Amino acid sequence: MTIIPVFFSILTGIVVGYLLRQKKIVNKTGILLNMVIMLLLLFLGIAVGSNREVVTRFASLGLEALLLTLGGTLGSLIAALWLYRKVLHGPKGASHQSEKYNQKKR
Amino acid sequence: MKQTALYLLLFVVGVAAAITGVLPEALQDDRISKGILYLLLFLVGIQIGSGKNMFRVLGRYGIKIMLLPLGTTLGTFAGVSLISLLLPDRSLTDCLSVGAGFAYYSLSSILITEFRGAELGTVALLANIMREFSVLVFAPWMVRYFGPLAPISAGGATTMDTTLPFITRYSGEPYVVVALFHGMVIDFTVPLWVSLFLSL
Repeated sequence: MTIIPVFFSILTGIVVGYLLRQKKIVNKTGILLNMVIMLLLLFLGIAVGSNREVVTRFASLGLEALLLTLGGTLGSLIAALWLYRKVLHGPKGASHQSEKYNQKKR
Repeated sequence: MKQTALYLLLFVVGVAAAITGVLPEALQDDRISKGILYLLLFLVGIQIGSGKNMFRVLGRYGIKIMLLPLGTTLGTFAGVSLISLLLPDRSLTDCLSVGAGFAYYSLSSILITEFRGAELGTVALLANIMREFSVLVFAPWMVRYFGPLAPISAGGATTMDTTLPFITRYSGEPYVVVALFHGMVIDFTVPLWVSLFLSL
């Protein structure tokens, strides 16, 4: 199983979506997408539940997840702070917004 | 929130059904879920292809608004790469594929389970649910110490739906458009990054 069909499925979807972008039917994809996600989460539960390794190691997998979340989230928080200070907080644009924010903080 | 609860309920029902063994063999055939997975990706593609909002926002606010999704992506990958040093059993690309879920836990865990197995898929599910919850719980703290863009970055792909009310409340009304745009961009990069890291 390679990853190529994954890219192919998304790309086909993008082309079809672009061609049908004026049609009303594309507004319904959200609902269908939601149903497909629900179905796949049920299958995901089945895959997880029938894998004994996962069930017995659940706590340690949870710890790995927690560490990865901490790293990823903190990394993005630092990037957000840096951007706010150096770029988006410039004289133009967001400056009046941040003043408002600072007043609120005081 | 209601949707998240429903999603988790379905997952738990699946786990319970598999553990108690009430399932017919036919449902455990993973060719079915692979077929549905491609349908899912096709639908995600349709949403990207038919969406006009993203480019309209880009036209109005300029290229600067792109910097936040870029920062979120680079910051997350840097943080996750550091954590991978603490997890000797996991490769760098496996860790990056988990991080590239950007709180879009359903899609990322489904993809990872199909291509790497249920173990890493479970890590991805838990990690990305935790990321979404971190915003729901710590948004005021994030704004206080990391500025008003922080909960948007932390919210990843969810900043146009589930975490938006929290961002509006703690970062302020002016950040709603930034959050919507950020969510849209991250949302559509999730399947691309995840499958890229899984293929490396």
